[in-house]
Amino acid sequence: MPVNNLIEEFMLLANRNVAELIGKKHKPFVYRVHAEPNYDKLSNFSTFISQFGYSIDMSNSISLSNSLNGLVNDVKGKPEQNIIENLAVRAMAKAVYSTKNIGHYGLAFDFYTHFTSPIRRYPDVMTHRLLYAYMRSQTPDVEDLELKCKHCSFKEQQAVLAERSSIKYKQAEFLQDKIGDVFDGVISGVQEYGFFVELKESACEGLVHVRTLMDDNYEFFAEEYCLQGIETGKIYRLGDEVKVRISDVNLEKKQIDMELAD
Amino acid sequence: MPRKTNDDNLGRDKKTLTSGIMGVFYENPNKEFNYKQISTKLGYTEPSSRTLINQILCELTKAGTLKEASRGKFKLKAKSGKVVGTLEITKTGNAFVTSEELSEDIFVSFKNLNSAFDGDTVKVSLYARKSSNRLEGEVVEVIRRARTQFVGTIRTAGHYSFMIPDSQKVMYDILIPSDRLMGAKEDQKVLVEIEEWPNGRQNPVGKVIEVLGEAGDNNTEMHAILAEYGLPAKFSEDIEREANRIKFEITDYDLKTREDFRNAPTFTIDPADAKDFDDALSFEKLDNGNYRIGVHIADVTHYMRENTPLDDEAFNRATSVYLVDRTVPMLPERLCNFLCSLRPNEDKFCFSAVFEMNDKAEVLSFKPMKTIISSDRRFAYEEAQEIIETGKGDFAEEILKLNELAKILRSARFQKGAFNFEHKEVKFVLDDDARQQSD
Repeated sequence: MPVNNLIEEFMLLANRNVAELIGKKHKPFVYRVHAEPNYDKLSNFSTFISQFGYSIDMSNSISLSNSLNGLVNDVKGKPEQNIIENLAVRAMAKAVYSTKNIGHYGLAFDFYTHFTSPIRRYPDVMTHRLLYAYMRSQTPDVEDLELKCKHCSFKEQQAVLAERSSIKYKQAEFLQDKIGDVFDGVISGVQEYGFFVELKESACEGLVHVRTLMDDNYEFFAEEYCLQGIETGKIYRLGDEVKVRISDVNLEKKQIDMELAD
Repeated sequence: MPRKTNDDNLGRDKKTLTSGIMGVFYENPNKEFNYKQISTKLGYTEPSSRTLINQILCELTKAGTLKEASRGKFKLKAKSGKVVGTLEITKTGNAFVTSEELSEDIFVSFKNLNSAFDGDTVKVSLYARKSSNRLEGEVVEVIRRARTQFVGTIRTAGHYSFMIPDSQKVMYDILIPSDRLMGAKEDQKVLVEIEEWPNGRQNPVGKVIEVLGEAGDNNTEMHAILAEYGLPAKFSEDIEREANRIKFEITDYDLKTREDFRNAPTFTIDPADAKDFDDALSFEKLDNGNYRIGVHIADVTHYMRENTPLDDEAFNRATSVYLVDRTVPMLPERLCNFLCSLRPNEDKFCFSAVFEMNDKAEVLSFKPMKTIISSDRRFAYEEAQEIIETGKGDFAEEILKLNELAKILRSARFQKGAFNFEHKEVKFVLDDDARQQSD
């Protein structure tokens, strides 16, 4: 077990016990909650992974998480790893902050909060203040607490989007002088206007627009995550391995355009 | 020749029938219909069909989609075929409106956005439902703007300057009159506030709030990303000054009211390049054979008091931001790198979760307390890892035991159905010290 897991376990233990201590007394508090997954999305996901020979067991939440954990192990190092992990994460709800405790599904905890990183997360600051007030039998100011939780959840999302955007910028920068080069990739997303390809080595993602697919007119099947040629029947599906050529890079828009190179 | 009716298909698909019924109401948002009129409009004549239609009408009323305007006559509940919802623009430029009034999203084509932006709260007028069965409408009013500031690049054409937005979800270039350019030049990245959208004009009009620098320059682009997501780049001088005024002192009162952990074996374990150490672990063996384990967390709220400008600023930020090549901290350096950084051999205040635990990693007691600690040793991950693997090194006994207990805690969690998603967002590595949040 890597040592960061040692630290993680004790942080989880602290967060969980703090949440439980206050939660069981039904006093206003800040929880880190995670809702149950969306079962429609999960069954789509289940259908999709079956074509790779994988399956998940959705009969109850323990068998679901066991089979998902098994799946994550099985796909490790395979070309479809990223796509399957991404889809699995998308089928899950996002963890957020709330004063209404619904438990943390992903961690399988009935009570959970963030207590351990007040330097870099404001919800932990709120948790510290509330807990300390309760320890001294004081009544803390809990006005607008739910609104504050919403604000923190929103900011957390924005920070994630900004981080992703900065990575996209670096990817575009990296490929800027590699226009015309050919790379191995995996189809990482399919839309009516084309499909996204993630390069194997650099994990850079770019778009192969349908207009560059000259051999046929393509039809989009959202539920099968694929585009299919009307005449040829040719299919481009999420998870397929493809060779692509970098055709254009727009650094300002952080966009990478690709063409099939077969 | 008998008139062809739809009755043959009846019952095969209640869903289809329901959307057919809703179609009639959306086409005539102000009219009332009874089940007979609906049946006739849809081409159903058999009594059995009509009964089912009546049943669906009652269900839709119960669900709040329709209302019974007068006895036996139903009407669309959403006022005059207009609904309020949140606009989401897709990459194609077309959009969907999600509304609590309807179970189905409303499609809005690019040409019908009527100056609405992604995330705006809008009022949509519904169209007659076409054969495609997709609910469609047009934006008739923007009720609340999600944002008014946007980031993009200045392009000048003749007398006119435009800001071309970075985001693909912003569908309009923003016209910047020359007196509102604030000195911004061609190809510079700017933050712009939209000030007006004159009727009938193609583009909104805005003014430059901040010139971020030359487009394509790394530093400019990172600032642009922060501005795009409403995140700050640096602290104001006032906030820095306020933070720098915070004193580090240990009073008698502190010593009297805080549990003293300075003699307990205590250490931090972090990535090699970490600067802020906000958690430490202490480990002591008790006489009864159990362990006292302290999870010590920097006591930020001891220094950052409520309702101060510093606290307001931290709340607005709400989180540190980890871009690929830089970190934008939630707190000024004085707090995160000094006052609240649990550096070795320095007395530091903590808010601690203290556990008594046995060999089976069962928690026998838990108590949160304010403490004073002094870390004995700072370990990089690699160093601690080596101690675990070789069994030798500083605090080897403590670290090995903690590791054993952590393993038990971990397997217990997975047995209870926790997910093990250590999902890497993207594996792109430069000098990437971005932290991952799995919880």
